[in-house]
Amino acid sequence: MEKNKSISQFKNLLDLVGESHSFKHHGLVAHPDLTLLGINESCGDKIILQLKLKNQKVQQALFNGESCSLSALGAETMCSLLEKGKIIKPVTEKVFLKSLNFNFSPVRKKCAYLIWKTWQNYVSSKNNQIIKKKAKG
Amino acid sequence: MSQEIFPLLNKKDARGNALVYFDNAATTQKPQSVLSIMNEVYSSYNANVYRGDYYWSEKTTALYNEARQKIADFIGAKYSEEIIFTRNTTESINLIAQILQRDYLKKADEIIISIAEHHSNYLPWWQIAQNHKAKLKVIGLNSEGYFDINQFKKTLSAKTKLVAIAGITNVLGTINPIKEIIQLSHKVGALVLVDGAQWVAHLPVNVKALDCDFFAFSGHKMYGPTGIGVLYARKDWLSKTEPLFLGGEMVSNFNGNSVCWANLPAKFEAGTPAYIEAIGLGGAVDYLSKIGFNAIQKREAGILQAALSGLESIKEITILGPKKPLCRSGIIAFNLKGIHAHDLSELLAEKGIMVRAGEHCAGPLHHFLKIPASARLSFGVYNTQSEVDYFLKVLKQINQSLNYGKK
Repeated sequence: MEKNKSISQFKNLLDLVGESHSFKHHGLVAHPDLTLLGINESCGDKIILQLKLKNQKVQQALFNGESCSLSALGAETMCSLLEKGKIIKPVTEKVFLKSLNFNFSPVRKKCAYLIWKTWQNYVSSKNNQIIKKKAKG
Repeated sequence: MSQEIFPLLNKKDARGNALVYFDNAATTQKPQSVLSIMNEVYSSYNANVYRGDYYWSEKTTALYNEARQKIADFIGAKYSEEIIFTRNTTESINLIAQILQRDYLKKADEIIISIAEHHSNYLPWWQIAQNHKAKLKVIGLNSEGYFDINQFKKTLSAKTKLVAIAGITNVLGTINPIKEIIQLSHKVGALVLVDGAQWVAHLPVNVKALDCDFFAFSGHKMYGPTGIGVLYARKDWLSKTEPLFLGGEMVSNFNGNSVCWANLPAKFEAGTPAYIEAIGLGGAVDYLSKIGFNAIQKREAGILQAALSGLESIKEITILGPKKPLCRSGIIAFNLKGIHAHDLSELLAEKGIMVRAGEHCAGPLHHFLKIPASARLSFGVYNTQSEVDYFLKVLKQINQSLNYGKK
């Protein structure tokens, strides 16, 4: 049982590496309205998430930069979710993981979560700004 | 050098496969003799050193002093008092950096390091420069990937007060021309600190012959325990220098008004030392001395050569640093085309092969080489030719799968 599981993990990761070269959200947005940078402190990888907005709604989301296949999968997943949801608001961990649909090892969590965390940080700091503005008003 | 005396290396993975440990530059496995001596002290006569007038303390103290002497002999120090126990290489370097910043360096002074330094031998000097306590000069690599000695010669001047350099670099595995660097530096009156972390387990060291001012290394990278490191400094320098850490053990007389520091080496070792780890490190020295560096070098050179030629035969592999084993130690950082180092290391781990992936605490070097991360193999005394063959077989399998995927 253990053996089969491991062979499939080897194959799953190898397949992911192959797929990561042709993710459909990998690219650059022309004249982006929002650019976010995610840095994986454990390896120095940098991923850039770019959004095109219209009336504060997400029109297009793309990512680029240097990353492993798992960070790329996390970024691809987030781009799909943001384009689908359109709204600039947090994406729950549950929704993110369900959509990610990849069984990664605990040491690779930082890779998989990189863009999700980058997005959460941006949205929460944005919310803070809004709350501050309201408080001032 | 048999793997059998390393209990952890006899373990199998969940699938019954042998495990291949190629991450010795990060830490090494421990021989049974090191584990046994530490266990013996804990279970037979553990007591704080220099404190008790009873057998346990006397016995532990004697073993602790013996370990310090063994380590002094191992690196060719003239006196055992020149061996200051620290936690690791990082703490040894920081100790010197703090003292030099406090007593010695002035704003216009210059510190020279190389671009290939580990963060431990980069950040302490970088921060001194950030605080405008001295200027930092960083020497690059020549076209072959070695320390650029010509740039170094041009950079050296009467302003140079310290040269801090690794004996063996932790990513490229290059062996720096330390003897020449020390001679040149001393001509302009600069002190020299050698980061010996990647050196001590692989090549013999003689600090007297080198004539270095400071030599720093960690126990855990030379088959000893974690939590114990060494700072070597000359007795005359240590005698005239004020201590940095203050507290118990490092003072001989204090009445609330005046103080008299303890003799060397205690003056620089405040608090209860990691004496059992130090005794364990003494055991590691015994282990290395028993094998002898002739045998270690012969074996590791053979493995390095086999791994380098095997990697070079795969055209999708890029090896960082010099391709030839000349002036290289058993460290090879590399990248495989089409796959990130973290993905590669996880795939290798699935096959029982343990390597390191990332920047290996050498961010400036990766920035200089313009690569985000690399995979690194680093060998130890127990690694074998058949392990290298198995690694190359798995690597070729991964490479082929990637190529098929691209078609």
